[in-house]
Amino acid sequence: MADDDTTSFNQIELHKENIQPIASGRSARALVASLSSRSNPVFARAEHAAKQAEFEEELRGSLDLDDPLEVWVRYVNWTQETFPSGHSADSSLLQLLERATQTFIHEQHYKNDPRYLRLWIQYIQKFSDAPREAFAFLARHDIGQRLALFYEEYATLLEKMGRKRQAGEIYQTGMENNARPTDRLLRKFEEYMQRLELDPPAGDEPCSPALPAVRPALAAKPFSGGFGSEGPGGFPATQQQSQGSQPSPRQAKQKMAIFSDADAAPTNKAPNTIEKPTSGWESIGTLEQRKKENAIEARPWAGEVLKQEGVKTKSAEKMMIFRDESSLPKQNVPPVQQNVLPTSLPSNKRPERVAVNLELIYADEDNPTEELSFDELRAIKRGQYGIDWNRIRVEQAEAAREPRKKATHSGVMEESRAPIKVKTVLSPSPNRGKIRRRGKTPASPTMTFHTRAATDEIYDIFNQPIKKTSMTGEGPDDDGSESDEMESDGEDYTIGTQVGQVEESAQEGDDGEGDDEDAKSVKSEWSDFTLRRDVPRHEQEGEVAGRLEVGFGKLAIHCDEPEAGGALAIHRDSPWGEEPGLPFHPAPHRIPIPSPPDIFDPPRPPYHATKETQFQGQSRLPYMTPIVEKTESLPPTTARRKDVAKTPSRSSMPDIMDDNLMSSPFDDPNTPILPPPPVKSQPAPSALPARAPKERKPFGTKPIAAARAKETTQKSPIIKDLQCNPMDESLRANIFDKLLPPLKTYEGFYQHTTKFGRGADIKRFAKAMSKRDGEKTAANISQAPIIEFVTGDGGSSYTIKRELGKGAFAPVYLVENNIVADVEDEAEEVHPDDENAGDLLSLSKKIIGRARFEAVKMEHPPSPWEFYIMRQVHRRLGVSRPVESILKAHEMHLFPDEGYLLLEYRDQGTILDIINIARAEVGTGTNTCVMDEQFVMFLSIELLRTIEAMHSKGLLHGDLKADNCLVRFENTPDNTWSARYRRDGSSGWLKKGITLIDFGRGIDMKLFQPTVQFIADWKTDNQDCAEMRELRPWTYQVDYFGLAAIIHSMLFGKYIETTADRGNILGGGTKKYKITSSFKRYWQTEIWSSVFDVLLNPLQYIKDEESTCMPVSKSVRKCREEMETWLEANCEKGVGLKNLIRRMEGVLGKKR
Amino acid sequence: MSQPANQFELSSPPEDVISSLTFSPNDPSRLLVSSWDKNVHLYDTNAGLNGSKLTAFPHAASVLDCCFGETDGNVFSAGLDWQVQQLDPETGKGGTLATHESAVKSICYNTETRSLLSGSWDQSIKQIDPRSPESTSSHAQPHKIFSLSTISHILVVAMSSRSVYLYDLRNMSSPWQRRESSLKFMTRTVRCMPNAQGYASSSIEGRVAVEFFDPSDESQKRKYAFKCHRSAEGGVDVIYPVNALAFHPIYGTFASGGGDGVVSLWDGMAKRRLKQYQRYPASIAGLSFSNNGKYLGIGTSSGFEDGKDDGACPPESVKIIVRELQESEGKGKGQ
Repeated sequence: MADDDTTSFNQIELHKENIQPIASGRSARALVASLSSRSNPVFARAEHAAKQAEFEEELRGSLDLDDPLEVWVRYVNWTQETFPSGHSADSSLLQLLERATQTFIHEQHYKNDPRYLRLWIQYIQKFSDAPREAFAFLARHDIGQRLALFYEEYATLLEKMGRKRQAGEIYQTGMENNARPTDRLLRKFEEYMQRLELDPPAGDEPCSPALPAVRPALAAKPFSGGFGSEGPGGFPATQQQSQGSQPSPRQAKQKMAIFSDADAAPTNKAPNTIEKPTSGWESIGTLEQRKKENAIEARPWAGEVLKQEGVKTKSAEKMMIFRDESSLPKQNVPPVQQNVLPTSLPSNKRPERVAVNLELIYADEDNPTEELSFDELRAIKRGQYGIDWNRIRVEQAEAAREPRKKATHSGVMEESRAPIKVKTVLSPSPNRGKIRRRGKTPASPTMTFHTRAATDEIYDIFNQPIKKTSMTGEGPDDDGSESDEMESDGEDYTIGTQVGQVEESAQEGDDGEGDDEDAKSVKSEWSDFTLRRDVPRHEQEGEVAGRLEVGFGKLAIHCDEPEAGGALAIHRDSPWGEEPGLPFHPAPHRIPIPSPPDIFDPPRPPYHATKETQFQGQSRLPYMTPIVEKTESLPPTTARRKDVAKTPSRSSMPDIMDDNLMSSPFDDPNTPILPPPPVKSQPAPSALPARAPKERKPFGTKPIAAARAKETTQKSPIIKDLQCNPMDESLRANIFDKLLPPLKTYEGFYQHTTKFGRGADIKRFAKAMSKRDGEKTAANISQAPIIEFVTGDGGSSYTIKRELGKGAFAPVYLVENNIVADVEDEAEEVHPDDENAGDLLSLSKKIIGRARFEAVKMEHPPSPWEFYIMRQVHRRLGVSRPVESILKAHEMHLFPDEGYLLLEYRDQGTILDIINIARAEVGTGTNTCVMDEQFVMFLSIELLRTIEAMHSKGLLHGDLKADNCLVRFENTPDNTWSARYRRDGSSGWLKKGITLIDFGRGIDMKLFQPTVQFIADWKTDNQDCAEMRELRPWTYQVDYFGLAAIIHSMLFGKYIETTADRGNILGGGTKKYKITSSFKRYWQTEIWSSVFDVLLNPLQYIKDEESTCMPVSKSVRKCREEMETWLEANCEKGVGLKNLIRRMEGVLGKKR
Repeated sequence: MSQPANQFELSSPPEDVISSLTFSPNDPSRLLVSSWDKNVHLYDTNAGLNGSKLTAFPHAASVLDCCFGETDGNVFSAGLDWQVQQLDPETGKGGTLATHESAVKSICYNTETRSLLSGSWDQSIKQIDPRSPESTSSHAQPHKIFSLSTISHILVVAMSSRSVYLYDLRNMSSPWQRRESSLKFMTRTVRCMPNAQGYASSSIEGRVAVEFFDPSDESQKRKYAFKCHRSAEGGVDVIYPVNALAFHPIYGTFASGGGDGVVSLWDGMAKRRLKQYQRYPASIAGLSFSNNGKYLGIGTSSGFEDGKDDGACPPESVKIIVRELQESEGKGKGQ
């Protein structure tokens, strides 16, 4: 019945489908009004526009109001009423709601304002594409958390999505938070429970926490403050990982942090998978931003390409796949593979491609406008890029100037040094011959031990201005000796080498060309000096020998030291015995007496074989004599030595002082103590012959060691923050800046300042190789890129063989270590006599502990972080059983554009492989599709032991998972390996275990405050520990959870899933996490339960620890011991552990 | 391959990539070629059947550019060894005029100021008076120098990151104009028009732009760019870099040489292509007109420029071809 007052439905009837419902109901009158205005759309539009303008005007002034939200609410309501069909271009309802919601996100006093929440809910319900995420976002920002409406809506949504359990959680959370109106919430909850009974949730519902448990402390400022991340708020929301979308090629380029000494300030963060500095998720972005892929941003066109519609090329697909695997978006040259650039010019319908390789030209991803011209590329290719011609010319000039006494003057690099020394020592005697005729230089081996005293002495000598007249081929500039330059050892120019200052004359010829000042390796100056003297020269005239003798002599003695015994005595005697006639010359410049050798005791890292020293002992015999004597008689320059805070021995780990001096909570009494630091005591003026035969006095040196150590080691945590994100680039850069001893002193670490630029090359080769799998023709192999690194100690050279894998950050390639390969190849021909021993031994440094095949991880962006962590682990674990379970990092070459980490290579695969093998095997005894429990137990013990050791030294792995555990089953003949498991590793059991890799997420707790807590700013999933997922702080939990994940996957063959067992809701009580999978009946459920309990809930075991803080090593050890006990008792049941391992070895061997 | 009657290959070409080639401004038979084989070669194109090499000046490293000076008596070179050298064709000796901090990529001689300009990857240009090298001045630029060209008192400096600066050589204290290349890809070469109205520039993406010096808006409106040196290969258009540009000294038309091995003649004002020569077997590395406009010197060599990823240059690809132009071959349309 039509009424004047009530509107007849007939008027609305026709349009009813186009009318969006409003929860609170629409005004029929308004509806009619708007509908009828349809008849006159133009007028209507104008009217609406006017009204909108009115609102906008109000909004502009709304900031002054007490309640600006009110304006928005009215605006929104009007919009909805006026535009019954909801969002449209005219109504802009979407934009309006977005604006309204975004405006007040941080507005404290609206956080629990129901009107504001309703705006959000409207937005979410109408427009959001990821509603759950939106609700989580609200939760994180503490919006609506006190309103029942929030929980009701969210729970309803979840229920609809079939996540009933999560819905329940939400209700409970709401009730826990006393959301109001409480009764209504309770009622809804009860209704939910009823629904639940009628229709219980499915078994495989996702049961992860539906809502991040946001702590108020976290929701507030710390995110922006404490992490040092740059401008997190400024990040476009395009960085949101919530969509899990790949960064579109057309996005604004995110720069990657460049690690460089000069400029440690990183640029913006990389859009890589894990390291999202979302810093607490500032916003979820407008829909437009989230749907960014559909829109192309406007930006400068340097090298950009506009895609043409309708042009479908294979390469486009390829590119996508390429992107998915790799985390290195080459965003500036989108169609990388084939350089196809479809243009948008209508005239040309053919697809186009650029002939030149854009990849090479725009190789610098950090700087998309940085170009390399063809000529630069060519120069690089030919190894002629970055040569310091000025220096070369200087040297040539110098060399030309000097009268050359000896014809054979190749390799006279060091001549300036030694001759000078000789001169000073024997100054009255113009005849250097005496010294020189000492015979052949023993070449390098003696040099590889670098003692502080030796170094100091040499440099002292060279720091004095010396007349160069009668010296043959002296270098121009002795003062340069104190610099840290590395000189290329006569290497040809290789890519990316920068010829730096060469102090000495650089003759053309092997070591002529000059320095590689950029390749700063661990070597101290002494090492530079000595190594340059390497092999090629050792055959030469005695002059060289003479020059080197001083050093040698001293070194010889020092080196021999560790051998102890007779050799030492002999050596020592000789200096004093021979050449009595040579006058002692108190040099005009003071040459320090090297401290008596006995004090020096080079700490040998485990993987530097002692055989090296043995060789050196022999070969050094005839050469040490007189110079040593001389130098020993000279007054010391103690002052000089104090200044040099360098690592005493090149071959040692620099921060050897660390453990001895720092009182750290992580001292594990079981760790073997490394030999006392090789610091020279102040040589006394009376350090005369009498001192020489003195025995080692390690204790006497301690105080000085201590003093020295303070300079070179970490005194206190570098990072002072109590809460931070340990993956943060700027944090790491900060660490490297302040690290003591600095990275460059680490053995095997080389920092180059010019770009290397081989990454693209190598990737291409690897791709080509993988494509032609099985068709590895000689041609392909011959094109295998060889990467050569020029360093001061001979450099290294590797041939890329194939790709081993691609981590999240860096591809790993199998390489052949050419130096080792060459040595091995010539092994038969080299006789170990003195003459050639030098050859062999000069390389010994390069081959000790190395293998023919190694792995190189190409890092981009380059970072020495992993190298640092791996070295620290090895350092701190010293020589111990667990250290065998950590992969070795041999070298790190850091360039501004790329990083190359040379790693040990193991070819037996990972635990993940084993799991898959086990899965593939059908019906292995009682176990189908999972690993045998004994085997799992065995591997778990290995894992726990290793991690315990690492934790005890304050190191976290950070990324434990089954594919980061290599299998280590070394070759053991049957008779050496007992079938009975021995927990102490005897009877061959030492050789079976695991090796951890991938320390890119490692954390060195000693860099932080003892009470530090970490926050994970990146997207997390089920494979991350609970604390990370719930945005709670963590430290060791990350590893415990990782261990649990690995063990879980071994036991069950699937990825871990945990659930929080809330226990008593209302009365409080802590959450306990447990795995959802159930143990098989015949397993050792008690043992496994307790293992998982500890690993998943470590905080609850803190009270059992002596230190009442993390790590919970005691509890972990207890679990391990339980497992060891069981395994020892049961290892021969069934197939038997040994046989299981043997069988696996066989399978893995075949896989290769 | 048979040569058309009006061109011949110069005998004893360099053995490695040609970096630049230029005829003498004074003698139409003197051709100077710099090469990655570390030499600068001077040829007499008139001698004998195929011309002959007069001298070769050895350098310490690959030579990246060369040019004549005031007279044929002085010749300059610039190369990877960071140096700008003055070479004496009579004695075959060279002397260093200036040294940069990195390879010197480009040099050109400006007759009006009698100075030699050098541009280097060390992001600086130097202005050198060959008679008194000690008065060399150095001017820092924002990017690496890729190409220089000069006419009257103007110097065009083309750099990486598509920067192009124009200098007034009479006042080098600051650039006269700072521009950005209108081409979207890396600049390869710039050459000034002989009438000093403007310059042409080329990029690695098969395009040439013609621009004008006058900074006024109306003049700037005249600038344009066009696509070139693209060839269809198997259904795909392959785009080559345009490595060389050379202006005809008399007619003001210009030739472009690309990685596709093609040389084209263009009328810049009429915006038309005049001629396209038959494709040469390797990428065009350099072009130069003789001072009387009768000959066009074409240098070819292979490498990155024609898409060889490893930049390999087989020596047989290195050729210098001297082409004799017909009467009106270099003329523009309507000339």
